[in-house]
Amino acid sequence: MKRLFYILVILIFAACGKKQEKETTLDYNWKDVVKESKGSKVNIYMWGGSTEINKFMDSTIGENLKRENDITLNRVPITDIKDTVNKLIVEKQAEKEQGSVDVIWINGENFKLLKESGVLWGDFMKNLPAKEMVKEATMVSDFGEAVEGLEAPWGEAQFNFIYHRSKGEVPFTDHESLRNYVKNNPGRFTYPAIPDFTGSAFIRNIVIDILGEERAQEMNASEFREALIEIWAYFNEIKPYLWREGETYPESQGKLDTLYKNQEVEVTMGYTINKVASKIAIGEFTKDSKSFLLDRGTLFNNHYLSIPANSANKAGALYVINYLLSVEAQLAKQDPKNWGDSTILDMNKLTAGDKKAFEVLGQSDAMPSLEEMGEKRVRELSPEKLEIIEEGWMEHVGKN
Amino acid sequence: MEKIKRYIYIAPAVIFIGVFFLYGFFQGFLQSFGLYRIVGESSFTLDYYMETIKSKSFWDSLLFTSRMAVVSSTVSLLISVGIIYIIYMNMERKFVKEERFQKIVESPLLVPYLIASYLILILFMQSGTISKLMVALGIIEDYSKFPILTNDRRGIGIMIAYIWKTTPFIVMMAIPVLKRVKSKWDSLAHIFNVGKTRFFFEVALPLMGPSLLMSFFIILAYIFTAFEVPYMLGVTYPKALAVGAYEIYSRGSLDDRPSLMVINMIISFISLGSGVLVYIINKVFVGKNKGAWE
Repeated sequence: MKRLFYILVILIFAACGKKQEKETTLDYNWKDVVKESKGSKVNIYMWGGSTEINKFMDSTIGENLKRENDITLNRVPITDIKDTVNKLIVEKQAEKEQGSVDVIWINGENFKLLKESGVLWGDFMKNLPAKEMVKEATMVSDFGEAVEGLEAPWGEAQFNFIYHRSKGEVPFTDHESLRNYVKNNPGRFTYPAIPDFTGSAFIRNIVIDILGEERAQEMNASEFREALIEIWAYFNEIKPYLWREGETYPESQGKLDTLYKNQEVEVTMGYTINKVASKIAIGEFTKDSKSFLLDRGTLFNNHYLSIPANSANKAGALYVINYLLSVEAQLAKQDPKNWGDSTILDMNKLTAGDKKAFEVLGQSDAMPSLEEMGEKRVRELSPEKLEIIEEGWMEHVGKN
Repeated sequence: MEKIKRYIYIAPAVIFIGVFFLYGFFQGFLQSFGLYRIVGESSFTLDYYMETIKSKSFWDSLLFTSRMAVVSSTVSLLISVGIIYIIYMNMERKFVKEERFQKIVESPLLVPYLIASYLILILFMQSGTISKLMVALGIIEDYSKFPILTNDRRGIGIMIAYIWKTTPFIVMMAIPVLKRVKSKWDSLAHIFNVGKTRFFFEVALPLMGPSLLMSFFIILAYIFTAFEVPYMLGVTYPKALAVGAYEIYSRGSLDDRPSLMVINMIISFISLGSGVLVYIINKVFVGKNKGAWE
């Protein structure tokens, strides 16, 4: 009994013994940030479904951070970042002050969710040195939600389709030709079901293709709901000609890739432009796979890094984010050998040498050229419209 | 002193369950009534329950999940009785080394459900391994002739996965009982010259009954709440309840949280009910058969 008491006492003291560190505030001084973050460990929570991205973060980025400021980057792989978003919201409810998440990789609805729940730290972008070089346009709004310095742009993604070029011409270039293609090739096309991210993007892209970009952006919620009736008719029209006659859809992008690999379907899709190159590289897709866009454009968006208010190492988080926005890290990220994700740096603000370095990268014959990607792109819809689309699809298409 | 000690010993378990399970359950319970909301005003309401009960997709999911659970556990139960019979005969006749045989039967228990469903998928999908093998052997012309066994409306793929995973569990739970029955009653059976098969079905099986039934309800409750298998092998509509809940959770805005909790509560109460049944079976039957063990 006595022993138990001593153990308890020791435990209590041990818990109190941890020194309170100086809290980093939003009006930080960069020199202090560098000093305080030195030798610390930063936990970055990010989607871990891509081997290339994981390797890039662990080796290239991790090693550079270690060398530059002795920072240990602890990458926590997440299957669905929504889990982390929910974790942070629950932590806030439970008033947990020392959270384990220092940096989180998010965008769109997850950002909106975190912003609304008041989980994010604040306008940390204001004083960030790397901000100077970043494209202004990426710091304004994220899927229509005002960014307000709560998150830092990290990269750009563009939706694209993948097919076997040995089978001939690009199968479709807009919603009309897609309809014809599907009807002429019954059972050879499908898309992932809601709530899969890629499936949702495909449906949004078709919505924009049918309604037109400007119109889709400008409509208010009720007009938009009204306009979608036409869209659901379109999806139901092609449904009997889809894989399994539309009775079921793949539940994930991964399943669609498997179907594509096994040649049950002829087209797969993704929201990262170098998906095709990396899948060929690991031998999952045949060498004749090639990605293509729609004539009127495919969706593009920015993805971001943010810091939760309960991060235990804010100085470290700032240092890591600042490094990830640097020319060096952005260039490494855009290298198709690493990740191939497009940069968010403003080419006009860079030195001529750096600009050239970016332009040389990202050319592969399996992917559309940078010019084509720049032209054939459409803006993302707001999270509100995304929700309307997802609910509507489930109600009018998925259930039937 | 003895009494206090007893409480100290169970404290860690109670604290653990209290913090990680009961507290979460309680929060979910409150949220399902619109209380303790993350965003917006909190007030008590039954709207979310009404909304769920009125929705057709909820009933479709409930029906689908129940059918899946009942069929899978029943088939598992029947197959495991067969396997236990074989194990019993093997104990008697020693065709194969007893332990080795048991290990083989129990091996699927080591495979996590997620991997099990993936295995079933790559084996049984239309363009899967079995189909490719059959094409290579010339049994079928091409993969599209292979029957649709995964992601099918009837849930065959899901049931294959569950049966493969749960049968060994029932067997594993029943074997100790079988061994006890054998050691207690074997000699008597010899004296009365009861045949092996008759002994198995008339003496051993009834005594194993409660254990089998208990496993049956445990599996039933598990399948009812499980997520991975129907997520990978199910269809877009109707979804298993847990998959439907996940969909709301991963798609949803925070306003949907109470509806999600309603589904979670319904799932919890059904599996809790199953737990109560297990308890009753245990009390009534095991109590009644006590004489057989003395």
